[in-house]
Amino acid sequence: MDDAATGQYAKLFNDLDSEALITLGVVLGATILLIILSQRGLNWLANRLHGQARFRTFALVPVTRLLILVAALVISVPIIIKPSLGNMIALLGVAGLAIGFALKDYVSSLIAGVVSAVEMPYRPGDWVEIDGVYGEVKHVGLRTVDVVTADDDLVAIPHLKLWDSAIYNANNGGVSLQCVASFYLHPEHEAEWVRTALRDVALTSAYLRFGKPVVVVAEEQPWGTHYRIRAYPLDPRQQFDFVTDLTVRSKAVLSAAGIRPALLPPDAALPARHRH
Amino acid sequence: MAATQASPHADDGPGAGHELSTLADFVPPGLTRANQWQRSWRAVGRWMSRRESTKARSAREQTLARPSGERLARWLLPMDWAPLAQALQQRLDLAAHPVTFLITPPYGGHALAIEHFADAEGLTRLAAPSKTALLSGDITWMHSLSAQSRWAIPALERHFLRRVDGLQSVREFLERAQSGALGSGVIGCDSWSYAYLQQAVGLDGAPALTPRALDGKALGDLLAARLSPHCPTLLSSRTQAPLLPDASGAGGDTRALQRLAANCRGHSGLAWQSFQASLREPGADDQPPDAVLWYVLMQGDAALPADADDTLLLVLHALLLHGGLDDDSLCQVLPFSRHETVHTRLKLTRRGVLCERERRFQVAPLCYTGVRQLLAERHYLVDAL
Repeated sequence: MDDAATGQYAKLFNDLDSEALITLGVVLGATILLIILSQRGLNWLANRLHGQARFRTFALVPVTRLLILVAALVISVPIIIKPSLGNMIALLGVAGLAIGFALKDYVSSLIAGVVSAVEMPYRPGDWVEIDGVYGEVKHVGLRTVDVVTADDDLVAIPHLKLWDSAIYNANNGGVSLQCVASFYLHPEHEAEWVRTALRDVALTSAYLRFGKPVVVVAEEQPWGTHYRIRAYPLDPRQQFDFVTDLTVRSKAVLSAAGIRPALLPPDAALPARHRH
Repeated sequence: MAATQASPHADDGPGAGHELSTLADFVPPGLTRANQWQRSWRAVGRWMSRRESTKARSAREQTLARPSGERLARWLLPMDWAPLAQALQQRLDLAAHPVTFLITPPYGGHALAIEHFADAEGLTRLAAPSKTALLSGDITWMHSLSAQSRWAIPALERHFLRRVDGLQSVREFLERAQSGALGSGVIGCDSWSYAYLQQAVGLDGAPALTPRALDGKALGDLLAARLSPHCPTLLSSRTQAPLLPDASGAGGDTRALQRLAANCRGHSGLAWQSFQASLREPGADDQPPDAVLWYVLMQGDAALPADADDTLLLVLHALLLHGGLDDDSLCQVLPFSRHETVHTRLKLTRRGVLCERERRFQVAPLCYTGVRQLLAERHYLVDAL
């Protein structure tokens, strides 16, 4: 019985002689080197590009790393294990058990990472909101996605969120990102004049991206009128400067025209967010 | 040595080199349509095939000196925009449309052409409002006009600033003008200001004319007509032969002229400024002065930082949209502190990207095409020319 089991075990693995060990070492070293080089090289290149090319280059980072890892596995596994159907089933069974019991969440994140590389719900350069965290995707790793918020905090979010959380992508791999600037005005004012003035504020912003719609939306509330300017900045990274510019100049124009802000009761105060 | 060049088309009609087309029909010379990758590829090819003659030429060009403005003024005749005005006269029927635009890019001479045109046609010339009036959005400057008026605005870009009050005043003027309530008029406008107003106000329906793009040959004829009799022999540094064709139209460095035309997108005014900036005379230790004048193809793109940040680009864009601005006005149209704006403007001036003309700062002729290309790549609004 023991001899038979030993024989089965021996059949699963190849004899690892010095040549095989050297080959494995070379594959491992080359894999690490290629991953480092591809990540640094593509990031270096992307940071020197602009517009669509920048986003496309960033998107290549996780895909390239995945391809390198898959290639390394394809080369390494036949060296270690005899590539027969029985062996593969045994190997996958053991791996599945380990994954299922010990590394469930971790592997779930890894698999979600693979899915994210294929489906691309977020790419480096995208502005996303995941579980209440809003920021620019800086790096899509195997297990986590790194997001830098407007306050310059780096937040590592596991890909696991992909399975059960809504992911808001503001620009989805492009350079168009809509910004919203809100204004809460006292009900007594000439709405048509305000709408035109707010639109002119957007049209005279240095950050405005022409060719995209500039819309002013008004909504009557019990406490007054809520206006929103919806427009696009030249680059997604300018969104906070753009909204600030719209806000500062709109306040000056409205104030000069004698239009008063609404005095909101505390329970009607809305969260100050740039997106709605 | 006196000049031996003669203008091969000196006796041409008034429209030579200034033929007009509609704005929609403008087509720049072929080379400008090459995209950035093609240009880079060509640059790599040139670098790979760099020969000894190229190195020798570079060494020779290092010894040349830029002539003073005084000497240039003696050798070159000032650009004459009267032919453009005459071409406008031939093309324009003031009674047919309430408003007609003459659009040219920076250095394109629309203001002077419209002034010539207004004098010839007896039109009321509307002067640009003062800086105070501009900042307050004052529109009293248009109150003198009525439905029977015949008027001309040489430079519309001087009538507004990119501010809410500026936009509202120019919109009111253009709406009234296009409705015919102000009679009929002709407006000269910088191509960048026109592009902005087209987006922000809407100028559809009003005819817009612009000079046709020049190719290398037409540009050679135009330059030859602007050399004074005192001009030394003009040689191309690339070929060491005359730059311009002779009276029969033969010879000349056609490649250099075509490249100049392409670099300037076929615009005569821009080409004229770039041509002057590219002239060099022998150094003090070389040949005697006035012996020969060299044309050295200058590349202004090097002055632009590759990693130009937002502040820098926004300053350049604001200057282009207004056809050049002074520091006070520039600060009014940008969302930066005065210190930051002036510091950036100074940096650009030091690098040679900006130059000062009539107390306004604007993009230097040699840098114009590079700046335009950079702004287009970053999705800024650019002109149609």
